[in-house]
Amino acid sequence: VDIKEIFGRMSNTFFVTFFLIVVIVSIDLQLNNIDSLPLHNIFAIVILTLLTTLCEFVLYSKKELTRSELLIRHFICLFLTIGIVLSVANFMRWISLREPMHVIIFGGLTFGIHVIVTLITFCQTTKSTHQLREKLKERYK
Amino acid sequence: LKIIIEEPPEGVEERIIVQCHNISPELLSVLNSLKKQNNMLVGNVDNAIHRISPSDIYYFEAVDKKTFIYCEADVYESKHKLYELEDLAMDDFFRISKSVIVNLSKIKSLIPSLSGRVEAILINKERVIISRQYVSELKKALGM
Repeated sequence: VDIKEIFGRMSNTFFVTFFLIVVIVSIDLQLNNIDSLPLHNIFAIVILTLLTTLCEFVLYSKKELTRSELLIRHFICLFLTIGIVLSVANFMRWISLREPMHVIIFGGLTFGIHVIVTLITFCQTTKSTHQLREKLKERYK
Repeated sequence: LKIIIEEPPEGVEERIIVQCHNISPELLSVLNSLKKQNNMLVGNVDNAIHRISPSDIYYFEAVDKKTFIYCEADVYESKHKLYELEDLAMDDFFRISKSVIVNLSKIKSLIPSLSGRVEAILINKERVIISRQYVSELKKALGM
């Protein structure tokens, strides 16, 4: 497993996730007419982003994974991410785990962010695939 | 063309010397075929030994410490390790995952897959996965 490659991908995921959380928090602050965000909440968001990014380690393996194994690992990664987000949000008192609506909203937002990050990765792969296809065509025309 | 076969003195390496005024297409084809003969790989199937031309090979795969050579419809076992085959530096062959080296000229199409992987569909409709880290290696190798 290439550590540089993993680090590159994870930093990509970290910044995309952080950007999406900042957008969601900004919208939430605007909707609730709040002018500022306490410093400890900003730190919590950074740590939360880092923890959820680390969940991506589940997707890496020393052996070559089949498509179904990878799909299972994607689900494990998603559930881990939702678990971590809900735990941190409960710890920071952003939500109460006793309130089903809170859990649904936070779970939904986490799922949405996860889907967007996965889609961005897929778009990057599609672009690479297209470039490779063109290069191979050129080479073997 | 006159063909002369001479026995070299003991200790002298065996060699082929071509004496010609100019290289004709026929001569070039003979030379190419000689070159190809040198690059032939050996594969075993049912205790029989087969000589396989690299241009007939679709991909090599290592499974349980054994190496297999996949052709259009036949599969042979090779005594070489995967890294040894990689070191043979055959032009069109490229490692696409820890266990597979593919013949790039046999790739029919490429499809994006999950987690940055790319699926290669070969001319014989077989599918092999180009793992994430080898996608970038392949891009570099193709000058991207």
